[in-house]
Amino acid sequence: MSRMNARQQAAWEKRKVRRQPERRLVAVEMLFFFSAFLLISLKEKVDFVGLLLAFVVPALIFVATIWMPRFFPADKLLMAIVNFLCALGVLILYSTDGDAGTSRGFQQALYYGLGLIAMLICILLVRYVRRWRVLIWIIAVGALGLIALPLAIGTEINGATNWIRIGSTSLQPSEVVKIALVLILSYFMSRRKLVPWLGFVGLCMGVLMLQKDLGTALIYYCTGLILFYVSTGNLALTGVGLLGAGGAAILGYKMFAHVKRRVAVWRNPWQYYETSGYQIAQVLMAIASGGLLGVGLGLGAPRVIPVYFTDCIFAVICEQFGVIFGILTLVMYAIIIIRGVSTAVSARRGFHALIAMGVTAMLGIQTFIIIGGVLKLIPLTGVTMPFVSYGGTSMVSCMGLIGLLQGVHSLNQDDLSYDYEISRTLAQQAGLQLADE
Amino acid sequence: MPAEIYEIVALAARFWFLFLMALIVLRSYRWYARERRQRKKRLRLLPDAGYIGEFVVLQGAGDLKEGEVLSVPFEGTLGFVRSNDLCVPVPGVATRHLWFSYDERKGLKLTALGRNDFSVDEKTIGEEPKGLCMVHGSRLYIGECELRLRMFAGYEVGMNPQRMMTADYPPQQWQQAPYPPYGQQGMPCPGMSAYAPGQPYGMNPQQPVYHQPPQPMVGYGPAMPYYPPNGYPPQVGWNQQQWQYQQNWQQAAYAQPHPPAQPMPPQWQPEPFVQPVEEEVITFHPLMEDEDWEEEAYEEENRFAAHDQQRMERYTREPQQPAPQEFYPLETGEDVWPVMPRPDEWRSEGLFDDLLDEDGTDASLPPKSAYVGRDESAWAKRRIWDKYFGGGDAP
Amino acid sequence: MKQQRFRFRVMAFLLIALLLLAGGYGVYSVSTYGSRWFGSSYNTRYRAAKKTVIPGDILDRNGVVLATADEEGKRTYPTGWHTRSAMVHVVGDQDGNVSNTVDSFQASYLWGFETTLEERIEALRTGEKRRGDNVTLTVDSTLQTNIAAAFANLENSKGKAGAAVVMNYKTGEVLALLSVPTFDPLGSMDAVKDDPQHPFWNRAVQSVQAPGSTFKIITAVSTLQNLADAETHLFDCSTGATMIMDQIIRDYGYEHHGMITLEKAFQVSCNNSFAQAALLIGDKNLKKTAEAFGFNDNFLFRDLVVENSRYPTQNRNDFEVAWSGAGQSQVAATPLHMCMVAAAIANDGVMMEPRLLMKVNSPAGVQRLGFTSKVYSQACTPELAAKVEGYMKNVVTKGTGKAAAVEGLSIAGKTGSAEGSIDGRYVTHAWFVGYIDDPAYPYAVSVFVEEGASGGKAAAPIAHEIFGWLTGQ
Repeated sequence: MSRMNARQQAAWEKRKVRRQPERRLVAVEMLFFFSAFLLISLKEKVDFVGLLLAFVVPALIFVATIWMPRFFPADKLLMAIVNFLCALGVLILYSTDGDAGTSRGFQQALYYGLGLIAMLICILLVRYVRRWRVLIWIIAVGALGLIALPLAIGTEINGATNWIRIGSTSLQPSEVVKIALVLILSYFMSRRKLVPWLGFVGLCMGVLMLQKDLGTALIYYCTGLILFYVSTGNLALTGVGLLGAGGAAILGYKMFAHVKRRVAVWRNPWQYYETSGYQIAQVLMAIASGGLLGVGLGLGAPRVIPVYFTDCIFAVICEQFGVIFGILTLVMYAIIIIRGVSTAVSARRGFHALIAMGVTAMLGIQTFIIIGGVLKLIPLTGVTMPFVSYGGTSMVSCMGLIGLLQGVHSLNQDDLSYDYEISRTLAQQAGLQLADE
Repeated sequence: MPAEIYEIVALAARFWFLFLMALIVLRSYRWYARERRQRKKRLRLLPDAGYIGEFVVLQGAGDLKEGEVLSVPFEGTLGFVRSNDLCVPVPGVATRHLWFSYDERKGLKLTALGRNDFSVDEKTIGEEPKGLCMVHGSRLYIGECELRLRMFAGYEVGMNPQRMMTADYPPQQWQQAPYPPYGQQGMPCPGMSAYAPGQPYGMNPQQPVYHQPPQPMVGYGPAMPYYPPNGYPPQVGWNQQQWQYQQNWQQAAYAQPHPPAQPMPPQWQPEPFVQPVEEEVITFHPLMEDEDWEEEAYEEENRFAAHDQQRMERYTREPQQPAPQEFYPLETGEDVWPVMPRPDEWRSEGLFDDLLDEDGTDASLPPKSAYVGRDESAWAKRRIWDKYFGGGDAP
Repeated sequence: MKQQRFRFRVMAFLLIALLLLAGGYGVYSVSTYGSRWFGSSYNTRYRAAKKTVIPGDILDRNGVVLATADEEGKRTYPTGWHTRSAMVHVVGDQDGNVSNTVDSFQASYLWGFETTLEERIEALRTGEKRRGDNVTLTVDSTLQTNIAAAFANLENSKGKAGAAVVMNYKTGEVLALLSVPTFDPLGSMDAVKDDPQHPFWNRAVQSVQAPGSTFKIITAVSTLQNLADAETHLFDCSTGATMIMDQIIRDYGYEHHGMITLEKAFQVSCNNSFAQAALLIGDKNLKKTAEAFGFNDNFLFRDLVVENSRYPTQNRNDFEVAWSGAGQSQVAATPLHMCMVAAAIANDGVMMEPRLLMKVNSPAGVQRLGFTSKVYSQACTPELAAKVEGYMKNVVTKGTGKAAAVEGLSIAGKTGSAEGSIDGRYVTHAWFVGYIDDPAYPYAVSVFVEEGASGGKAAAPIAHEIFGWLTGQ
């Protein structure tokens, strides 16, 4: 290689920085959202909120993916993907706002910022808290109190009493408790304390059943079961748990008329179009009218779908951007799962490994439940689509879970760099250089 | 803009968005694959990564031969079958026998799984059902075998007064070594440096001894838990942390007067790298060298030769049959990165046999974590380093 | 930790497999059912396009405009009362009362969803309102109007509900797809809505009824396939009734035919013989043949939404199996499907997929979709088809279907009188399926008359008329 002068050297260094994978990825993401928001904001007359979002959302992505990980060795790829999904949620909500008089897009952008703060807090929690013995009990008691709160002062929305209203804002405690659930279950499992583990899961499930919040109860149960299997490897008891869940499902089907109706709607929604099949039928029509490529951003009629902004937002994505885009979104979730599991695998302490696995399992199960429901693979259950759905509590809980994962990842990186530094220094002393430098 | 024009623009933009999305997913995937590759490569470079120490088999039974070494991770199970983190295929060991976990302050804590029995040093698990703790040099009696723990986890354990020991090797030998000795290579990792004989381990002579709480200082303190990459903020108050360590763990050491300063051997300076004037490429790779260098020159100029001689006189052992090298053949090409030899090959590499203590361990010697003194694990690492990692590919 | 890591990887595979399952299922279901979901009459999306698009025209095979639209995009039907009433179940009405018509099922063409970007820009440049594509059907509106008239005029089908399907058995083109009662799409819907005969219902593709004796075509094929001495075996109909499991199987009107062969039994439509044949060959073989003819299959035709036909799989005992051989006992099919069965026999056992779209043209005349015929399945071998064809010709020349015979034409057919129930009443529906065995006129016909009592008397005369019109006699 020919020798470079100083200027060339500087240019080369600059180019190397520009061509870092995270920069290459984030640049495309920022371009995506800038052009998309610009397009919608010019739809009828120039909308200044849209123009603002066209700059703010890419800036948030840049801050979260490039700037925030400078303070600790976070997983930038995970960060980039999660931020893309969050920004996609903001985009979809803003595009469906249109002339409806709602401002969910702008609200969601605020929630997105809030979620980033929640993520930061969770990273710091995992990174710097070393003594969990007392703290975990405080968290457990607090979480139980929080999740039981709607029973006392809750309001009923969509048949489930899982919301509490403080002033003008409403809050869903079972979402926030997800973070605590992962921490508590991982802690007790890594210390091999089964009694408090079972007690916590049982109390949570009981409270959720009282609130009739079946979707969240299903997520909690699956997460608990996966964590139990993963940490104990006891296939027999896991099978008993699965059978119990199946038996409960069959019992519920036999006993309750509304469960029966829900299954019938799942099998043929068109038959019940006038009543309970309306939602899923509208979802299917939306997905079908999108086709492979979609009807175009800001076009179509997504607002005829009930709860298009939370549960059925995947149908809106498929309608506007097409099924291929939807599948690529699923691939992104799959990458999140892969990264989560590889973080869990490379964690050196059981507690951290279980945290990472718990987060991954919870997000994966939740994604499957809602996307399988929207695509009519399983009966539709009212849970939110992680990162994308509208809602502050959902955003905070999902970003908090990702924060736990990032915290574990940063600890892994610390451990590895410590080992690496020893070897690197030894090599330097010997006048050598490590092969990968 | 009018609805018709917007419709056309949005329909055209579908392709643009789909293209960007595909690009995003593709780049994410390629980034993922690249990181995975790098991580695998890096882990191959760090054979000790994730291990806190080793169990040396003092008395073997069954398939476990005396002198074998088992690497100990932070947490895991010990049992008879291979799926355990520590596989001890010895009669009397259950399929899953015990659970061990590493505590930075207590050492390696062992808890029985079920009603399995074992004992550490003088205590059995029946006496302390909450768990037994092993420190560097502790012996574990499990089934029909006896294992001894050699810890080389983080130096914060080295600060533990239980582990403070004294070096006994002659420093004069160092200057004759072909390479500067380990302890003299400067700081092998942050916060570590050479030790003088008679100096307690776990203490850094270049580190100030505090007699009162110091003012907070900014900088990269010795206790930095990871190396600071570019742009990381310097740690604040690291010296106060040192004061705390001193208060907690080093009082026993500092109770005695500090030994008089020994004259330190001159620091070894690496030869400055001179850019060759000719454009021709000079390839230097230890793998390409003939074996004479390794067999003769290295042995003769070995800085430990005299010390080894003493040992060999004191302690002789029947010559071992060289183990068949079926794993990881040494004649690796340039394209295949050399891998760490398996522990059962270490013996055939001659890494341990001539250096073992009477009891087969080095417990009288300092922990590997300190990277000081005469530690055959360090030396083994050094040999491996020279042999496999040394050449590196020149940048 | 080691085992735990292994389990982590297992869970990762499981979770990703779940996601892939969801994605794969989504792709599969959208590609399979997407056009059906989109064409659902509940879909309000293409009506939202009304503001910017004028829907395209619907034409029949001779170029007669069946439906067009005015400048506001409102549908109009320029043909006369008789034609637009007869065509209403195919073309559709303004309010979408009939489901899965061409107007809704082909909405993506008619409402301009397939318009290319250049054409949109061109429309923008000229400043005209954008037009949807024009759809040309394979249906012959004259023929269908005539059939509707025959339904209304012939004595045994007057005032009764029913359906008639005419198909080209070589290509699968549907020439007529009539459902009666019809109604005028431009008239008042109030009376139509309350009509107990449900005129909004497209019986040709939606009414799944017991095929009765017309199913004996399939039983005969199955018997010839599975019974070694099928052609010489003598079936016992000396008493006109067979006792199976203490229950009685009888012929229409307790006729008795003595000991007869399969050919004779087919000709006189003897239930006893076919019940015995069904028991001899067994439920499994009969089901296999029926499924080869498209029973229990999910019909996903490109141009038509057709209800699935059923061959029962549960609660089978000998009595049920015996009745299945005669096309009763929860065996059910649509008139279109029975027409396909006859067409398969006519076409040497090859069943063609029914096609309704001749072509789709853009307003400027560029063809977007042309006619392609497609084989649906190979239902039976040509030899078996030839044998059954002989039986079916006997039916028309000297059996129960004499009323369908046309002078100078070689016609094969099978009548049917199927017992069913409407609103709890036990009624007998009339069926006739048949075809012209002439390469110049490759047409198969299926006629279904609700409460028509006897296939030979109510359905066969209509088929007779249809054969006449088809051949120009």
